[in-house]
Amino acid sequence: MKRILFTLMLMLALPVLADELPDYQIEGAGTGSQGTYLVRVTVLSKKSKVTDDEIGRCAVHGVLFRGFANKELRQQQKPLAGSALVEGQHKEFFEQFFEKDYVNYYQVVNGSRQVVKAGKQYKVTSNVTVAKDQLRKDLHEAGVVKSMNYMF
Amino acid sequence: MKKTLFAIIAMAVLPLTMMGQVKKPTLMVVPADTWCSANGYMTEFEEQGKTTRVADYEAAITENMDLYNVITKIGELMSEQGFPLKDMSQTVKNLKQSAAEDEMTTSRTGGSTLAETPLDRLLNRAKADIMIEVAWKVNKIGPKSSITYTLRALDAYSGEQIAAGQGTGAPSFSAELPVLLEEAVVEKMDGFLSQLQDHFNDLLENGRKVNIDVRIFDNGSGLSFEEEYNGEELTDIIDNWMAENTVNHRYNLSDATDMMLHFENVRIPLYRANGRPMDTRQFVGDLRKFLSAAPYSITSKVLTKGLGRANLILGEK
Repeated sequence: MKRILFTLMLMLALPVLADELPDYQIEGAGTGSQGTYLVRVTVLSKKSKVTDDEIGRCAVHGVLFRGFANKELRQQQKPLAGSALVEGQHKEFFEQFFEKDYVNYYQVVNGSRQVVKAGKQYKVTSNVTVAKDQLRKDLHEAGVVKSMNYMF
Repeated sequence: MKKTLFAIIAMAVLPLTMMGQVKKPTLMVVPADTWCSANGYMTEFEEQGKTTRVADYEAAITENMDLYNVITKIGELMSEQGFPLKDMSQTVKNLKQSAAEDEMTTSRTGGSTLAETPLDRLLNRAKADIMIEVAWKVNKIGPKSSITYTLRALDAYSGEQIAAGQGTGAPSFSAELPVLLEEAVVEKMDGFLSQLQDHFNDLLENGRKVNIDVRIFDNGSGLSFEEEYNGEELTDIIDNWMAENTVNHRYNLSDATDMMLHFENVRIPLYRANGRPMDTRQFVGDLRKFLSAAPYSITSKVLTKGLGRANLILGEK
């Protein structure tokens, strides 16, 4: 009985863990080197200790499903996956992707971290490089996003 | 029993393996006319007493290093997407070389030269199915420089703009022009490619967009589009055939006279009934076969111009 209860609780908890992303904002931070995006990610958290991993995860998520802009730098990029709907369409794939695979696609820029207290929460900001060409290529190979070449 | 099963499986699988073989459009990057004009790469020639100015692509690519770099960078980014570009300078060189070789080619026994119609000579020019135009302008405010950059893809047949990337980069005190240009190309490419992808998705969903002209040879046969067959005019017969054979019956009969029919935005399917890829020549070829059968029995000739334009000329071959 205990086992069944444990399994049920685990099944209910797993998707929640995989989906759980902190509240974050993403904007452009300049032109990255070829094949990458340089973005600035701000994580809103009740604690000041936000890990680089959480910021990187938000950066990859933002690049994939939100896109980013920066009025001052005159930057605007659409979501790499096409739209936020793709996340729901390939739920199983992205749940697994955001458990471990995402770590291969980001690098937090050293020395770019800023922590600002705003009311009851902290705004933790870092610049992150996202390997968008490799990310796009791997999503094409996984069949999640169609390549430009798929019909020819 | 086994044989029947094998045949059924083969029939089911064969069309699937043939899918995904849609003819790939060719792409070529050229400098926009506005850029050529601003940078002195235009040539003039007299045509019936009127001076016409056209872009001199050959001079632009050989003399302007920035243009060369921009085209090379765009080519590199397009190749990464599986779309290698047709190189403009190489195409111009090949045309010249091939024309010189053709003039020297003769048969061993009779000394005959290669047959070439005036139309063959006219069609022998640098062309691609999608032309990508690029232009930029350097803006200077005091010590700051910025680049206004434009990239747009035009369907060579319909003339429609199918993708574009345009904008002014952030001003810089120190960056050199080639660096600003490279940044602009890289920055605008993803948005541009995403629009190009939308265009290809549209092709898959709604068929390829082509233009078709149906005309009549002036050979004294008296054939016209007002000719009636079983009480129906030839114009209506061809119009009905178009409606039946286009994707979702989508096409426009934009001009119709007794001697000419001009169909625009004709959405032809990407695949034929046997699963093989369809192109404009085959689509118009089907119309030719339809008209050659009874009760019409009209002989006709198909002329294609790249992937997206074809003429069907009625009256004779």
